[in-house]
Amino acid sequence: MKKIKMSCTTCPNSCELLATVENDQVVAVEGNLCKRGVTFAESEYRCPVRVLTSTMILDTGAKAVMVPVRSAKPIPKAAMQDAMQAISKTHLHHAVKMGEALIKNVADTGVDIVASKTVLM
Amino acid sequence: MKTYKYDVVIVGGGPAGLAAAVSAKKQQAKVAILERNGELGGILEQCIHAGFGLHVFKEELTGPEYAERFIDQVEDLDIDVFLNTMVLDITKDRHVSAICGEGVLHFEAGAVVLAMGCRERTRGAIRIPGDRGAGVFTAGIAQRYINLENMKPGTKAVILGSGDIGLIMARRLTLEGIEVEGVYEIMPYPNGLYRNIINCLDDFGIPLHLSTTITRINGKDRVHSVEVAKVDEHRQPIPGTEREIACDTVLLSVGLIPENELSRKAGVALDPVTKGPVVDENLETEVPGIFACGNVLHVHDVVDYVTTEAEEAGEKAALYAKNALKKSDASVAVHAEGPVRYTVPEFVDPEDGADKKIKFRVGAPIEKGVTVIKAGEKEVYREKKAHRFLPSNMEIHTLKCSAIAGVRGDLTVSVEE
Repeated sequence: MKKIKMSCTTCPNSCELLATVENDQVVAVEGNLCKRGVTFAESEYRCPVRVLTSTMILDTGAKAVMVPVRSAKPIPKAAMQDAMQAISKTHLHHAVKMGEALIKNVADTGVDIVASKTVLM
Repeated sequence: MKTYKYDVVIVGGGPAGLAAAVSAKKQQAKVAILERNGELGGILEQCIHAGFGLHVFKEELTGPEYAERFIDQVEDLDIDVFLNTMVLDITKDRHVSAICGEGVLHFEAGAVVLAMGCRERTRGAIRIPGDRGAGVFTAGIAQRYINLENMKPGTKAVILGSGDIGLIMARRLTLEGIEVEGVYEIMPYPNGLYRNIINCLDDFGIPLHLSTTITRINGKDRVHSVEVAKVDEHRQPIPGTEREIACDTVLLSVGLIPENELSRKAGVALDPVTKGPVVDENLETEVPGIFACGNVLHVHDVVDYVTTEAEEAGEKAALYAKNALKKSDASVAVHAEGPVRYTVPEFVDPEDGADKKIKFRVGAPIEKGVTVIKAGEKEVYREKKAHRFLPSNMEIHTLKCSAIAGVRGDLTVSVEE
């Protein structure tokens, strides 16, 4: 059995968690104000995930505008650099809608990169 | 000169202005938003990171997503929006003059909502000695360059100040291949939200140096290095601890100041601590019919609380414009005491039957404490559960009106350790 200290990053409360790990499993969490702290501790121990955000270039012909993009869901921290490369290689040439998938299954994470904003041409 | 008449004129189309407009419109008011930028959304448009909306929408949105949800409502509700329109003057009797491409516009407003937001403190405000080469940016300007204008500010950066924008930019620069040598904070504790320290610094192995500051910037044409030094408890550099760091870029994340030039012109009294208007519980300033909300009133920690505050201001402004705002003279002052730096509002009405939302921040971290509100010597509120107080977090407490009904004398808000 081991105890691991972590800080929940789910919301600005930033609860300081103490996770108890037995047989490679989180069996107890202390210090959390809500149940999202338990979900966070389990995920943070097993495979830390984060929402990745960046921008893509939309070439309108007249000028290039920036489209903010995000991973639709959190992706493993380890996949971030690969996902960033895929994003910087993608150039857009059409209007986009907020939530529209721009890269499917980025870096084999099973998560899409989607537009964070509606940008008309 | 064109003249318009509106029930509610909202100055600023960022998160506060958008929420105030939607809320005023829902009270059947005729509403106009005046925005100096070419699009609505304010600073949210360049805040492409996630973390917005956890309270209002119960999900983690990026800045542009959060803004678009409100912009859609503004469009659906047919609220009049004047873009590329900069307000030049507001008078005590709520005449608003603005300038746009077609010339000067004039607005006669039943009520005005101030929602101009805040701006960043600059190098001049903190007086860093040294050369005046290029490469020194506020964190928000660097954010704008990278996220909106596709410009790279430099190749190796040092960040001064651990405010949230600085932390967010440490991650953003790293992801874009710009090296971040470290974040330096003059105070012994970080200024940004804890989750940003984990997600933006720890995740990328960027060190945070507390009680350390930049003492000199070197480089005549372009920054080529900075000198950092540890500081003592009086924030004075300790001789012998200086260290030179090669870099071509310095980002400053050293605080935000509410933007109240227009409020001053309108004769609105400002609080010396928040640098925002003095308001009562209706978020009405000392000038009748002029309301304030969001970062122009006091700098918030998360946008969700800007939204809820602005919704209240919008509603109250609409009621004022229709002569339906309950107003009593039985106002008592709310004072900050001890570790509490300020309170918003500064005045409440103990007789109007409405519960009071009291917001404040502490000046220094407190490991465990409870919020206590007193009316004279009588305790009228005590927080049940002790918790940690941080200067980076805004506290919001609801004071039941029944607890202060009939009290005479001012209220004081404090934190007991």
